[in-house]
This record gives sequence, structure tokens and C-alpha cells, in this order.
Amino acid sequence: MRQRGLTVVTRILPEKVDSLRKLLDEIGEDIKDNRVITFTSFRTVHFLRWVILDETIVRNTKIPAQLVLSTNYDGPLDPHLEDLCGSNLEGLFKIYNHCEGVPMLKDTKNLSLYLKENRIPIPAFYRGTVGRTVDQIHKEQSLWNRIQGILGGKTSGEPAEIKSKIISDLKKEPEFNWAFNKYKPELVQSTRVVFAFLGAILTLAIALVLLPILLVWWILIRGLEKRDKEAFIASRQDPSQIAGFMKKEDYKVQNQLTHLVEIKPGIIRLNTLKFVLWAINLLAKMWYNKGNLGGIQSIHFARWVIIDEGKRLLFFSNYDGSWESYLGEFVDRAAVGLTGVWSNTVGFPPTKNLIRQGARHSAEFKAWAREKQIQTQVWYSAYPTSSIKNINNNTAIRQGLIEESSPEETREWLQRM
Amino acid sequence: MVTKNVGMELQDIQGILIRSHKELSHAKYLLGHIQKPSKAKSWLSNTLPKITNGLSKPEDFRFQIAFTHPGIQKLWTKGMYGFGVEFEQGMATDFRSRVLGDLDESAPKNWIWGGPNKPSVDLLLMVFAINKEGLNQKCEEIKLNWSESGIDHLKSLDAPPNPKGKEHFGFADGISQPTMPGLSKADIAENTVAQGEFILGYKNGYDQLPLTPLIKKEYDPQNKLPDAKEEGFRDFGKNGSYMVFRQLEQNVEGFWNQVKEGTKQIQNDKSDCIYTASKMVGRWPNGKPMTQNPENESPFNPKEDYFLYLENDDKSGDKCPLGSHVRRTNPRDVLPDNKAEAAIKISNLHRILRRGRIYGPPLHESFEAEKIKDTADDGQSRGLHFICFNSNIARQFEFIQHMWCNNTKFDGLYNDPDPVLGIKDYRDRSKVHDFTIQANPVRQKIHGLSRHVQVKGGAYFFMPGIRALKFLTQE
Ligand code: HEM
Repeated sequence: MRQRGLTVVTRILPEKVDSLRKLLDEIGEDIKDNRVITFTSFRTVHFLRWVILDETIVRNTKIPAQLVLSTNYDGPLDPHLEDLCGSNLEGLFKIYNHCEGVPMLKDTKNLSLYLKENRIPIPAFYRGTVGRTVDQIHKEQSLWNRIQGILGGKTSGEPAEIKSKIISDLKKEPEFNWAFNKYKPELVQSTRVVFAFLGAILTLAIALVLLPILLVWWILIRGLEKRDKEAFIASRQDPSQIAGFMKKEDYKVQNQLTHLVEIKPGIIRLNTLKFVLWAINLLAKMWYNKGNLGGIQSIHFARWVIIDEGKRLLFFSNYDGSWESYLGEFVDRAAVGLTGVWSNTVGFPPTKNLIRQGARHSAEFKAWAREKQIQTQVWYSAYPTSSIKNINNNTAIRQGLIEESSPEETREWLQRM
Repeated sequence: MVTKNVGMELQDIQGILIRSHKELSHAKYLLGHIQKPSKAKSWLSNTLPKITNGLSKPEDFRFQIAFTHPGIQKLWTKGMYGFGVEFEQGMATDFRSRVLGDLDESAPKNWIWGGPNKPSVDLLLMVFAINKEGLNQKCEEIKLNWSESGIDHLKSLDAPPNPKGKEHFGFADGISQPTMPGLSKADIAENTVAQGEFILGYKNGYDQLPLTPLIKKEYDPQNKLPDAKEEGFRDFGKNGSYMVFRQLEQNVEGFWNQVKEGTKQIQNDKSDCIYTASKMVGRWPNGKPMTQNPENESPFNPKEDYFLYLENDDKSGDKCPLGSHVRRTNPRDVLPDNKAEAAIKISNLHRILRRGRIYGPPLHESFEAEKIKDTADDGQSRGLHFICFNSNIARQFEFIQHMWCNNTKFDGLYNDPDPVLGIKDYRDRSKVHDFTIQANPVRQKIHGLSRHVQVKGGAYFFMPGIRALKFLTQE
């Protein structure tokens, strides 16, 4: 099944911002046992967050306080909305009562419609566990646990023997019947090859046609970069702001990042940004669809969305490991892509030719990332103890279980244990 | 890796950053609390000529000095910008306790030094000597000087000689160490790491200058400090380094009992505990890398130490387990995608200069793992004064401890912390942990790891360059 992203942006009634923050903090501080939202009733949700964007002024325009809901869910949209609103109608109403335009009638249909109407497009979306449903992720983890039990401290024998012992033991247990059903992964290996081929031809063709335009664009961007470089003031880490984030970090295998930054003024920057996001989205779909985003193997889901009529860029990410390791991976492995996006936003370390330098200024980049990070009031993960690598490995084990395999493949399969 | 060979200002760098003073085999670490900053300054001023720099190698005594953030604030009140957040916040915060695994018995509230509700540790004086009497006498003098200079002596930590170079579980330690370019000793490219990874004021692994503490120009009218690259500031950090100090107590009998129990679980035919423990460490007791010789302890020459995992055909961990201590603390060429060149580059962004020494007597005088493993506990405390230097605590020391040692998901594992340190996953306190030994045809697994290394004290220090020390002494 296809996993998708939902982003809903609603205006908060100015007089109710504080009480909403209080409510969300109460939920966020006790995801398990809070009295407002029962997260375990959600069936379609991988990750979910609510974030308050405070009232602010961007380029002389006042932007009122807004509430952002972001979910990563097993598609399609309507059943997901039904799941959200149906399982927690009271709680959701309690939250959205703080926002403009919430429906008067308290029922699932009205609330779903309200969320649907306020949703915004996601120009760039990345999935690390492509095609796996929440339910499947849980089941495959229990399969791994069971196999560990079967293997115990030490198992000897020929690979094929060991494999068939695992299979026969599992077959005795009805709760693992599902593991022997045919499984068709969403992953289409061949997209990569086709994509590479078509991509190469297309790029060539487009490049030839657009060469003059590109040249003009390049001159314009270089000009802007020069100006930006002169005006650049390096971010400095602020220990007290950072302490606020640290308080909430590192309780699960995953962590989250919400990052909000102003887009540089002018149509060149905005359109360049839109183009880069489009390209990243395409790559994420066709190329980086196996849990590895250009060397970063720790992102479960991430997205960029443009809000406030092209004035600000929001980034959401759910990743494995610590903030320091995640940002480090950005710098070490994906600096080009990130610089391509964030070089179009305010305060980013100086860049060259759009994608060069920028994030490679490691310390400045990290300070900037912290400076633009904002508090996430509520954050839920459906599988807080599973890493991407675990999830992907579990699926491979499950696939191997029902596939005929050569001695070499059996050996490789056993190595996954 | 871009490692430009820039000559370092050795006369301004404290000596321990360049060498470990092994010839001076007796050491004591004195912790002080500053009561009267102005008096402490004049003590520092008198002591300054004795602080060992990177050029001199006095044969009788060597001294190194470092300060915590509270300590620096006492000596300099006019503001400094740009210390690492970790250093400013200190080691004993809730967040750090979580990520470093300083929980339960190891929680800062139980520490002998460096914990909360105690006078702050402000400074650390490291004294190295050739014999015990000389060392004791020197330290008594210092303590007397301190008491006259408004510095409370909080604690002296002993580091006795360790001629065999072993840690208390019985394994050779202090073998692998990164080399900075431009020093007399040359090393192969894979183990040569930019100077700025360890010493501020030089290019780091990103070919950039590390963030450094700055002082407004107006406060340094006599140009005592070098100019910073930032307009209007001087560089207090130049030639300094961040120093991590943790007192790690080892329960030797507990560790070996765990190894014995684990050996039963994996039904090792040889019931060979040394083998099991070596799998945990990633080296044999004599230091021979597991990845080079997984079957038995062959002779080992530390000089030929540098090795890689892929070149030993050990991608799977069948020889040196993925979760072993040395493979975690420096994965060399195996992360993230088993692409050697890129992986070495990344591993080298998380290196530390280790300068620790053991404390307490060996459980068995021979210091042989074979003997230690069957010796009952004698009730004495022993362990490792873990000391390391780096230019970015978050990216180097904390990263290693948090993302590599304590992370049960390291390199695709599920439930395995560092088996030598045995720190429980703070993210799921109910979990019982494993040590997985990759093998053919299928892995072996030891279930139920426990912790035999406890933290007894610790702090983040900054070890300034000589010029910066002088700057601190002025009124
Ligand atoms: C009491 C606790 C510890 C013991 C008994 C211990 C023991 C050892 C041993 C026997 C070695 C192999 C010798 C060598 O390569 O030099 C080693 C290497 C190493 N240890 Fe530890 N260690 C301890 C704590 C730590 C901690 C807390 C860290 C850092 C967070 C650490 C980082 C390292 C590093 C970086 C290496 C070198 C790895 C390499 O470059 O191959 N150790 N340790």
C-alpha cells in the first residue's frame, strides 16, 4: 500500500493560542496516557505531529498564529481521515476548537471535511520504509523476535537445514500464518533502470533547449549569492534555546525535527526552490526508494512544504538516532541536495552555484539548523523501537521465508538474523 | 581527506596533546575549586612557566592544566563567545545523562566528583612524575600553594604505572590512536586526521577552522591573543582543546562472570571465555585484531597496528563482530555503505585522542586475562580514568558514546549495546540486551548483558594554549 503525507494548516483564534499550547503540551508530554488523544486507536498512522507556528511578521506582513498537523499514513486519504476523526473525535474537536472555521456539528464527516479543505500540497516527500503499512511493520518485527527465539544462543547445521527448521517451527504457530502468504512489495526495482535511462535522455534534451535560459538563471543566481555572502551573519549556538530542544530529544529510537525558515525574497529564489523540491521529490520516488537517500539511511519520513504564500519553508523529518548524527549525515552525505533547497532561504551559510559549499560549513550549518528549529508540541511514532534498517531487514527476512533459494541465498538470508 | 600539513605552534600547545608522557609513569590528577579568583590568578601566573608545552620534554615532572566552564568564568568575567554548547552546559545535565548512559548507579547524583550539589570542579592539574615519592611530595606542595591561593583541593585521582599497557579486564589498551599531520611521526593516510579535529586554530576534517571561543578586541589591548577570523574579536581558543574526563569504575569479576555465562549460552565447544571476551572487545588480550586472526591469539606487534575490516574480508562481522567495542568506537571502512573510502572519511570525523590511564591495582598482578578471569573480587576499586581530547565534543566524544557505543541499533543491529560498557538503552529501560556474534552459518547470541563499568565522576574541560593561559592570569 502506498504511504502518503497529510499536511493541514489552520489559523488559530488569536485569543486561544495560549490555551491550545497548554492543551498540546499536555498531550505531548504524555503520549501514552494523556486524556485527550488515544494514539493507539489510530490504525493508519506511522508518525503524527502537531506544531504551533507563532504569530510573526515576515517582510512587513503580519502572519497570524497557525496550527500544523502532519501525518504519514497508509493511503488513501479518506479512510485515513476517517481513522483520525473516527477514533478520536472528541480529542480532535477539543484541539480544533481553538482554530478558525471549525465545524459546528461534532461528527466524523464534518471534521474530516474540515481537515481535507485545509490541507496543503507537499512538493517534496521522502519515505524510508517504502510500501510497508504500520500493521506490517509490527507483524514483521514480531516475526524477527520469534525467529530469534527459535535460533537461541547457538544453532548448528547446514544452512538449508537451519532454514527449514525455522520454517517448520513457524508453521506450527497459527499467528504466523500470514508470513507464508504471497507478498508483493510496492518497490519496483526496474523503475531505477528505466528512470536512469529516460532521465539521461530527457536531461540532455531539456538542457539543450533550455541552455540560454539556464545561463541567464545562473548569472542571476550568482549575483544573488554574492550579495547574500556579503550580508551573511553566521548563526551562533544559543545554549538555552538548544537546551529546550534537548529536553525532548532521545527518548525513542527515532527523533523528530521541525524546521521553519523564511524564503529569500524575489521570484528567482522562490521558483528555484520549487524546481529543486520538484527534482528531489522525483528522485525520492524513482531512485531513492529503498531506505537510502543519497547515503542517509536514517530517515523514516521527511517533507518540505511551502507556506504563507511562498514566504516560508517548513521541513518535517522523522529520523533514527540523535540530532547531532542526523545533521552530521546531512553535512557528510547529502550536502548538495540540502544546499540546493536551503540556499534559497534566509541566514543559510554562503553558497556557490546554488548547491556548493553551504551545508559543508559544518559548524555554521548546524548552528543555523538549531536556530531555525521550532518546538514540536505533539509527536507520535507508531513504532518507537524500530530503526529503518530493522524494518527493511525484517521485510527481507519475510520475503526470503517463502522464496526458493540457492545455497548462497540461504546463507545470505541467515546472515540477516 | 584534506589534511593540510600546517606546522603547529608546538610551543603554545600543551604537551599532552602531542604526547602521552608515558616515560613519566606516575601521575596524579588534582581537582580544584576556585574560591578567590584574584589569588588563583597569581597562583596560575607562578605556575605558568612549569606547564609543559609541545616542544619541551622535562625528565622529572610535567604539568598540564585545564578548566571547566565555571572555572573559566571565574577567571574571566567579561564574556567569551563561541564555546561549544556541551562544554558550557557541562557533563551532568539530564540530556547528557540520557545520551551518555549515566543512569542508575552511574547517575551524576552518585558521582564522587563533578556531580550536582557539590562545589563545582573548576580546574584540573595533571602532574606526571618518574617516581612515586617525587610525585607525592610535589602534589603536597601544590596543595599547600592552593590553600594559600584561594583554591580548594577537592580530590586527587591517582594513576599508577601500567608497564604492560593493559586495562583491568586484561586487554591491551591505548593501541589505536589517530595521527596529526606535521608531527615527527608519520602515519598512513587512513589514520592521519586533520589537526583541527583535536586542536583549535587549525583546519578540521571539513577543511574549516573549528568554532572557537572569542573575546572582544577591546578587552585585549596588548594583543596577548591572536586575531580571530571574526572581525573585532581575538581568539582565546587557538592551540587549545576540549578535554573529556570520566572516571569509569570496572567490576572485573562481574565482567568475567558475564563472559562465562555467555560462553555457556553460545555452547562454545572450547568453553573458551577468552575467545568470547575477545569477540566483545574486538581484539585479543595481547591486542591482536580479531578481524585479522579470529581463531586464536597470535603474536602482535603494535607498530603494525593499522587495519581495515573490508580488506580482511570481514564485512559481515564473522571475524570481528559488528557490535564489538573497537568496531563500534572506530568503524574504519565499514559505515555507512561499506564503501571504504567514503566510510573512512566519515569515521575520521569522529575520532578522539585518548590519553587516559588506569587506576587501582590489577585484580591479578600478572595482568593476564587468563589469570584475571578466575580471580575473585578483592573489594578494591579499580578502573579507567578515561581522558580524551577533541575539538567538538558533540561530534566526536559524545557521538561515539551515544550513537556508536550506547546505540542498540548500531550498524543494523537490533538490541545490542557495546558489550564492554554494557550500558542499558535509556529509550526502553525494560529491555534485556544482547551481544550478537555474526557467524557462519548463522549468528550466535548472548542474551542478558549487564553493566560492569560504572561512571564515578566526570567533567568537560577546556585545555587552553599557553598564551591563553597567560591571558587568564591578568587582573
Ligand atoms: C572501562 C571502559 C573501557 C574499556 C575497558 C575499554 C577498552 C578498550 C580496549 C581494550 C581497546 C582496544 C585497544 C586499542 O585499540 O587501543 C579500546 C579501544 C578504543 N576505545 Fe575503549 N574502553 C573503555 C571505554 C571507552 C569509552 C568510554 C570510549 C569512548 C566513548 C572508548 C573509545 C575507544 C576507542 C576510540 C578505541 C580505539 C578504537 C580504534 O581506533 O580501533 N573506550 N578500548
